[in-house]
Amino acid sequence: MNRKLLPALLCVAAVVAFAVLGCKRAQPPAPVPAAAGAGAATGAGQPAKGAVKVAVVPKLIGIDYFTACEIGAKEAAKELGVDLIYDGPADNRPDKQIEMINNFITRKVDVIAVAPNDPVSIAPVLNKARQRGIHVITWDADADAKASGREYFVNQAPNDSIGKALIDIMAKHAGPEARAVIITGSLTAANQNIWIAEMAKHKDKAYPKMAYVTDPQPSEEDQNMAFKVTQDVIKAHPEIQGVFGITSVSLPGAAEAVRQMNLTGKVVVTGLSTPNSMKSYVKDGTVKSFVLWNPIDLGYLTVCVAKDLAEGKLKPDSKTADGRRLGQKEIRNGDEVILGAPFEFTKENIDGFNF
Amino acid sequence: MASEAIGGGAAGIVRRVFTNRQAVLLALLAGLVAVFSQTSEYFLGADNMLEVTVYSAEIGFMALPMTLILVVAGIDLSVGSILSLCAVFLGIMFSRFGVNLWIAVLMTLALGAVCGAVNGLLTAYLRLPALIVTLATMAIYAGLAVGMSKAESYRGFSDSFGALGRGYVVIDGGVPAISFAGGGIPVQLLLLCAFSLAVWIIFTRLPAGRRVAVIGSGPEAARCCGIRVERLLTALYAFSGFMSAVAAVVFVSRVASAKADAGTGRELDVITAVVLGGTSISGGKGSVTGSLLGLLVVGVVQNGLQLSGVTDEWRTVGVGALLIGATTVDRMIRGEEV
Repeated sequence: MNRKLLPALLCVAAVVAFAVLGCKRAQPPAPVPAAAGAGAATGAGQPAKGAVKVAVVPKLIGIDYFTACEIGAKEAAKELGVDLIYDGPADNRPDKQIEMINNFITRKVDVIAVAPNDPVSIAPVLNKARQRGIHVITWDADADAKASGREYFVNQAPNDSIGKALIDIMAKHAGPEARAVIITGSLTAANQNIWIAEMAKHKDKAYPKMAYVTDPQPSEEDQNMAFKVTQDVIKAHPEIQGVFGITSVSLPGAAEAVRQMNLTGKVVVTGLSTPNSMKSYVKDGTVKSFVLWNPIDLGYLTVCVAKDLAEGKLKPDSKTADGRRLGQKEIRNGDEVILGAPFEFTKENIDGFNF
Repeated sequence: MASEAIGGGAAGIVRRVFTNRQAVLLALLAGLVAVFSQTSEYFLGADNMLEVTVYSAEIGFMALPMTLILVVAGIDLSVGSILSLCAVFLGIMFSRFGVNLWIAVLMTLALGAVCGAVNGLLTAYLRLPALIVTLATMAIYAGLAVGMSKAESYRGFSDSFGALGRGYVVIDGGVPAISFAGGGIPVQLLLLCAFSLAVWIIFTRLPAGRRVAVIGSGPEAARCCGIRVERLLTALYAFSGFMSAVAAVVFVSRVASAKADAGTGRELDVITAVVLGGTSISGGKGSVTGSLLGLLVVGVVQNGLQLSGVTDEWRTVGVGALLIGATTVDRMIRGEEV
């Protein structure tokens, strides 16, 4: 028996050591912003005991766009003394998000702010959070509002203005009768699908002769796949004049394909992405201009809304939300906080941005 | 009878059920629970412990047949892809063709068994290496799933179907009822317990299970004993496919949507749990209880790390390190046995 007991005890000791070290080493990402906040703002921004605890869940972590959102969220957390947890899945899978949100329910956070990968499948777990008394908001993309019971959607830009801006840019550079294709994220991504619909609406009204050579092509938030898909479409439809890349990774993927096929100047590329990933394409003229809101501001506004919601400052009849350094923000339809109109990035202004 | 067993041979039964490797895993589990209860105040609650099993169950369904397949020195890399294909098939049958949901579920289970049987036939009768056969079908089934669905996701499943993956059994006024708000036993945990018990009984108590063990120690010897090796192997792989379909049904119910990436990468989670449980990848040795313990350890690590604020990418590092650590310790302990 002793011969069996000793190794078992050794094993426990080893595991405890591993787990303690593992937790110690991996934990800093969460508490660091709080500590940094305390240092920089001489204690003013440090989340006190009983501070509002907000879990911000992006679609995925490790891409420019959501890293920029994280910067804004941390900035607001520091200013407002919010205890922020920013964590999302390593890939854009709805089931991983659901699992993480379940764990945030267990951790009894005050607010869950999620950018859902799938508006329908996320709804039940958000509803469960609401039943447990946790506030729920969505940002970047909305969840099924009724089924999820989410209270607010922080909308980065009204969908109609994005659809209009993209189509107008295409018409300006490729002509009102352009032949184009849309490279989207996943075919289930809610906001991309709404933009596609809004683009069609504006196109039919303003440029009825503009047309798509094929259906929107999915790239699954994968730049390499966007690259391949764009090449395939251009090969299959040599008459093509324009490519829309409407996610932050599909636009650089599409631009890279056009550049490598030596079609710069012949095929117009535009869409939505981050300035850092687009700088080289804008500078060599592959992309004349593209649009986006400022994701730092989006993360910032999300945490502002989360805090005010938790503290009861945001009520069902509120007409505006306090965006702190961003000013008062319009609330549409009673539950959509609007960040603002999209911003057009060009060769002239792109160097002023770093995200 | 039960009291006799406890009085006389409790230690013997415990020793029989938990071999040395499992003692190591139990100690490991105790250590992990001790650590995580310190790093997160929410870890130790009964609700959270049950929550761990919700995510482990889908892996667990596939880990049961995988244990038996590893015992006969085979491997099934296609389980994740079968899960994807079955999820998509269920979605298409229900959403596109309007088949009654429960009939669609039965069809899905049948499809899973057929997919598995294909693996089994190729492995057993054509004598192709299981690694190559299932590596190929892993690509084929995943490709079919993406192709059939065109990367679309299927939705519109009813709430009653959602009970399988999101429901909890609660006792409401003396009667068991299904709740969606938690606070009870997750439905898939009950399913996993039922399947585990069945597999455990078959593997350790019935002739068919003993035949599996004999094949594990040498297929030629098994043939000499008059065991129909080919038939049994085919059945094992078909069972593996069937259980992947069970996992698919529970997954679709839990996530309320069916998409072709449902099972991507799951085969590695399954094999991790089984190998952690002490089943040898080269065949001949394995146990169902070990796999369940391995499953629990992985689930506890994933959950505990998240509750302690460790982000996703570091959690996978943790699981990988754990597998190497546990195997090393186990080998050191039983140095002379291996």
